[in-house]
Amino acid sequence: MDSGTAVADRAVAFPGSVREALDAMTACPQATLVAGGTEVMTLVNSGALRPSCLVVLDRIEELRGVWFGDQEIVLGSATTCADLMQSDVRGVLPALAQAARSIASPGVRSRATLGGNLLSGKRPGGPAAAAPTRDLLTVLVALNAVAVCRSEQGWRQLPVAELYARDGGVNLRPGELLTALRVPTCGGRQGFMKVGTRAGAARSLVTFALAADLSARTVTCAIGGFSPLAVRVDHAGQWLAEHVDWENGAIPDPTTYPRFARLIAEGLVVPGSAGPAGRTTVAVPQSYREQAAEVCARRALVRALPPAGWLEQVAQYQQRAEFVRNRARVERAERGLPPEPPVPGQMPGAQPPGGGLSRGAGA
Amino acid sequence: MSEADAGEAGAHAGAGSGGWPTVDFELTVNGAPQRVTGAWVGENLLFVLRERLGFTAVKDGCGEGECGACTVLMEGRPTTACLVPAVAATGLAIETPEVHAVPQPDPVAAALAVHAGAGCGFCLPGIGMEMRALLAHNGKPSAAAIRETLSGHRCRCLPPERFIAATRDAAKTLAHKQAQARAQADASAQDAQDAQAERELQAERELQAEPQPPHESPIYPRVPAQAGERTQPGGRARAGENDSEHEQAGARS
Repeated sequence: MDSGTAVADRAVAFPGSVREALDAMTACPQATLVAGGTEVMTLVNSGALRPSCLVVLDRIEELRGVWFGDQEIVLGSATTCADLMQSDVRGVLPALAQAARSIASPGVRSRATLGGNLLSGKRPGGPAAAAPTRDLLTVLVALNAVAVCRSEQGWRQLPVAELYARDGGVNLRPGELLTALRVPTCGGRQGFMKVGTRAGAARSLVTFALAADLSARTVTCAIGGFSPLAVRVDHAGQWLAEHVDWENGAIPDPTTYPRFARLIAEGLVVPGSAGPAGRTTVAVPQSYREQAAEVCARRALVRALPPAGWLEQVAQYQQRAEFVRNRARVERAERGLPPEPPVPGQMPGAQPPGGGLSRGAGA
Repeated sequence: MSEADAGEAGAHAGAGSGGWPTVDFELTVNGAPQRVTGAWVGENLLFVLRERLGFTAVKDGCGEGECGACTVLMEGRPTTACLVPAVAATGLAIETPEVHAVPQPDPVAAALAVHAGAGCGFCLPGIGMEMRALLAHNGKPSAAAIRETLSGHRCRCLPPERFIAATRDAAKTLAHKQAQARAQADASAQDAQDAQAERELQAERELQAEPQPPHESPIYPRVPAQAGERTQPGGRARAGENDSEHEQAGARS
């Protein structure tokens, strides 16, 4: 891009396209790829990693942005978390937007990228790396995303869960670049919850993502955060699919929520079905982690599929409030009390009248 | 940690020798180009800003993006400088706290001094940058928005309520200043409009009014003898009528 500003024995490359990036990686096989740098630089700052050659990926327009299609949504791998929080993404992939928002702080999110979140951590045979917390991975696994890799040999597409070895290392071949993630569209009925050690920026104890497809009548959910990997919890999803009122996109039986949450939490202790027996990222008692998973599952489900009659009940409350207000007016008139209170027209700094909740309920 | 220190020392001394490749590049800090020569490729933006370029208002806290003390604005977005490779920041506009608080503190810095002056102040430059970024796109932030925005900043001296109060204070001052500037602009626009209207009115009046006879023209000095003539009504009025007709005919044609 601006090759004049950074040239000295080819220690840094600023490719402007995927083609140039692959060329740069071929020219310098031991190069460290940097998009946002938020993961790499923690290692560099602590002295665990000593890069001899950087390939800076944040100026490749092909890798940044989100493409919305009818069948699928394509997420560029160098899209930042701040971009994933934008309203257009929030409309179609609310779980992903929530996950992006739960990561770190605004100062980190403005640089941290989707690809960096997925590919942080150890390569097979590579140097040691920080214990990764791939919060976005949980959502992408629940959404059945496909990772698209590009190398000199051509394209390679694989389910995002197959990008990882059993120990959580990244199975990306040398000279291969993760360019995008393809997410099939499944409607906006999604939920994501994360529990960390504190409410603000923190490493996650448990992350849970759930996506309900109203047309295909399936529920997919994934749990992660307690290990470098995220796994699908298919038995819970299949159980839940039988308890959903698919016509209205709601759950008729309110006891479904705690039962589903219990199913998720119990799955946590069964290795092989719902969680790799991997290294945990935060040391907390297993009972606490189970409880966190239970709460996550319940809340994410409420976000994705509200209880049946919930909206009707809200409307009923509003109607009743309107009725009480009208009755008070009538009673004042019957008693001969003045209808208007002894105050001037508007509160100081109040919004101009019109379009309140009560008016909406009456209509 | 000692390894990192050794690494930075190596980058200083050994210019590109033995596994510490160096680069030369140019950063745009506070609108001015800054040349950096002989920096190791792995140096972070925080180190370059502080140690090589002398922007010491950017503070070095944790080196892993936890504390937010090193927050600068890159292209207007808050960024933790310790997690950005310095070479990757070439061509991007970087703002450090200096440009806002030196020599005259802006409303944000002033509000922080009032509300958070009791602390040690180490976190304040970073918090100030985050507040500026927030107030740039949200003129009246809610307490929840302020809390979420400042969640990446660790302050060990003061409770968060101080910073919420400071942000609200700064927002109020900024809104007041903007209103003042707008009023001033409106006033000057009104003045210009008034002046224009005045000019038009004047022109109208000049067209409508009796033209001054030549001896009363402000250009030519009044001769005392002619001024004396003015006291005689008869002849003067006739001359005026004639002149007026001439002038108006000339103006219309």
